[in-house]
Amino acid sequence: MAPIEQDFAESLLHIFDNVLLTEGMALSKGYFSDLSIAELHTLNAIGPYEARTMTETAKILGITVGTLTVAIDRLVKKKYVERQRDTKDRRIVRISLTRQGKLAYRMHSKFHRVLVKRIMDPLSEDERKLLTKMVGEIDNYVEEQYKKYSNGEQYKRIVRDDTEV
Amino acid sequence: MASLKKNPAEGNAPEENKNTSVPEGKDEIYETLVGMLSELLDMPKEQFSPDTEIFEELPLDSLQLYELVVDLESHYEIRIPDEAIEKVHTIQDVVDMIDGAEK
Repeated sequence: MAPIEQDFAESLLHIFDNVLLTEGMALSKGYFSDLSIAELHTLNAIGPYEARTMTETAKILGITVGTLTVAIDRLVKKKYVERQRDTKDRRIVRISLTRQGKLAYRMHSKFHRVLVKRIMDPLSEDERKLLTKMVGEIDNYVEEQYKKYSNGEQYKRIVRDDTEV
Repeated sequence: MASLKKNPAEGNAPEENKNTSVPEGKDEIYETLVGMLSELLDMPKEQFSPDTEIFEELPLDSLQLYELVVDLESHYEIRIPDEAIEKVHTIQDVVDMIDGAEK
C-alpha cells in the first residue's frame, strides 16, 4: 500500500474504533449507564416521535424481528421503550420511546451533532459537499460488503438447515 | 381566553384524544414554561422573566435542557429540533418558538 493509502486506512479504522469507544465511555460515565451502544442504536432506530412497528424498526437496524423482540423486551424492562397495540388493528404492536428513552436519544444525537459541527465548521461550502459525497461513497461501499456477507450467512444457514432435515 | 390543559397529552395517549384541547396563548405558554423551569431547577417562579437568558443566566445542564425540550414536545405535541434550540436565547424566544412550532 502506498504511504498515503496506509495513512488513510489507519485513520479510517481509528475513527471507527474511537467513535465506538467514545460513545461507550460517554454512556458508562453518563446518565444512561445501564444502556449498551447496541441498545442506544435501537433507540435511534425507533426515533423520538411517531411509534414504529417491529418490522420497520428491524429493517432499519438490519436485524430480524426475532432478534429485535429480545432487545425490546430488555429496553421495556429498563423503561426506555413502551409497547402499544394499534388502536385500529390490534394485531399490530407499535413501539415508541418513553420520556427516559427520548432523553437518551437526544443526548446521544448531541454527541453526533458536536462531532459533525467540529468537522464541518472549518470547511467551505464546496468542501462540505465534497466531503459529504466522499463519505457517502465509503458508506455505500461498506454497506455493499456487509450485504454480501450477511447474504452469505443466510445462504450458509439455509444449507445447514437442509442438511439437518 | 384559552383554558390550560388539565391532562397534557403524553406520547402514549390514545390518538382520538390528541389535538382536541384549545391552543394556549403566549401568556399561558409563558406560565407553563416557567412552571417547568421552576420545577426542573428548583427555583421560585419569580426568579424568571421573559428576558431571562436561558443559557447564560440559568444553571441548566445539557440533560436538564433536554428534559425541558422533551416535556415541551409532549405537552404541546410539537417537534423541537436541535437547530431550533440553538436559535433561542431568552425565555420569550422559547415562548415564540413554541407558539410558531409545527405540530
